Amino acid sequence: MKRLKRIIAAITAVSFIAFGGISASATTADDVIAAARGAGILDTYVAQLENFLRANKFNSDQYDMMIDGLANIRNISMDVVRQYFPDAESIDEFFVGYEGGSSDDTTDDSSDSDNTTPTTKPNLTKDEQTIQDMAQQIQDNMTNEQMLEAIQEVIDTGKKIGLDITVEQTGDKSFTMTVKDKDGNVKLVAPIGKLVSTTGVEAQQQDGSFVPVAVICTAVLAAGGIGAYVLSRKNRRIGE
Amino acid sequence: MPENKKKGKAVLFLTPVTVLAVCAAIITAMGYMPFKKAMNYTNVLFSAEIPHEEVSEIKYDTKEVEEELDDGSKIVYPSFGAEYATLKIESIGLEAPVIWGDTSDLLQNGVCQYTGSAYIGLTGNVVLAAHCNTFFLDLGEMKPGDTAVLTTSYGEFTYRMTEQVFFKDTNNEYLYPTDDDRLTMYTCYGNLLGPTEDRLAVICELVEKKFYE
Repeated sequence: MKRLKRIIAAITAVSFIAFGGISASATTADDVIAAARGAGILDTYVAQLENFLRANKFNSDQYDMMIDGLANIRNISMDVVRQYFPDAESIDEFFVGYEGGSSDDTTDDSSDSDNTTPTTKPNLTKDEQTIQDMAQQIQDNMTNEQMLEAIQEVIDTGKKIGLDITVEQTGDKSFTMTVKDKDGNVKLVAPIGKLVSTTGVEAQQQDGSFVPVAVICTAVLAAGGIGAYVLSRKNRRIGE
Repeated sequence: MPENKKKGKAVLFLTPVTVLAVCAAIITAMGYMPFKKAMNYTNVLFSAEIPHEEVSEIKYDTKEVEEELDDGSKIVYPSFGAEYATLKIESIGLEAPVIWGDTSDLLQNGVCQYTGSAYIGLTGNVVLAAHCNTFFLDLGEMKPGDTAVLTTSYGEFTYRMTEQVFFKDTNNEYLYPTDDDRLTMYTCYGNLLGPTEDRLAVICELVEKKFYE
């Protein structure tokens, strides 16, 4: 419970900076990134957003719209927290009793490590690590509907800033998001959920150029079969 | 009688032609995939430039954004689907284009970079993927200490292999951002005849970072 309080408080602290701490000056891409972190979104998706915003520039109003959208996603994340910890009377009670923590203090928690865990994890502070833990828990415990709700928020925000965002479900809690500009140019295709690519032989065999070859071969085989039948009949007649 | 003779000659001529056509069709049908695979192997083996298949119907944005970093060096952020680097691994005879984005279409054309990973030259985890029967055919042959060089229009970055790991395709952890400068390259492992959930990854540390003037 104490750990959870720390997690919630850490999210709140970051959210305060992201949503409440924005000054009257023009909103920047950095503000959007901070809002994304505060919304309990996993680092890897925040990195995708950050990369996208590096290569695609928007104006201050558009960044504001993105932050509004992220605030709504944060609410969905908080719904997940409420569901995940049903004993809590109110989400607000988690904020009480937060002891704070030193942000210079890097985590040494290796309890989750196994033989498939990277040997060098990011040097996250304890607060950053708790937020990431929480983000992971939020993602793990999100239902398909909640994920779709969050994705819908992204789609709606995209519309407001002139981007056409479509999402295709590729598996259980796995999606592919395609972002196009108003001219239909693809600006990003990003996986959500299952991030590891299909790198086996299968994808090679899906190569479309095999189809015409297969059609031609089938046609030749069919023609050959018919020809053989006709010839055999003729041979029989000659024999008679 | 002469008509029968004529027919007999036609049969005599048409029979081997038909049999030849059928045999050719069977050989073509059966040999197409092995031939294509063999060509890929040959290209990789001799580090030839792999022919790029045009991805039809998909229109990619081509705008690039140049930015000056805090230390004064310049970086170019690629548009999605753009070839923006070359990966060279001498120990396994590989030289291949690196594409920003890792969709199945792009994976046919080169080594693909996950868009949630660090741009080459920036601090973090640069994550590259490629097919196990083409570009990363010999990835598993890399040994600790082997070098991999990423060359872009703005700089050259040399990495040294530190470890080889295996993971399942449901485990995203190796794709996550890191604070250190590293290169993670992965491909399928264990089943060359079809899809597999097993992945082999090679992790390298950055040993030299050179931005062009």
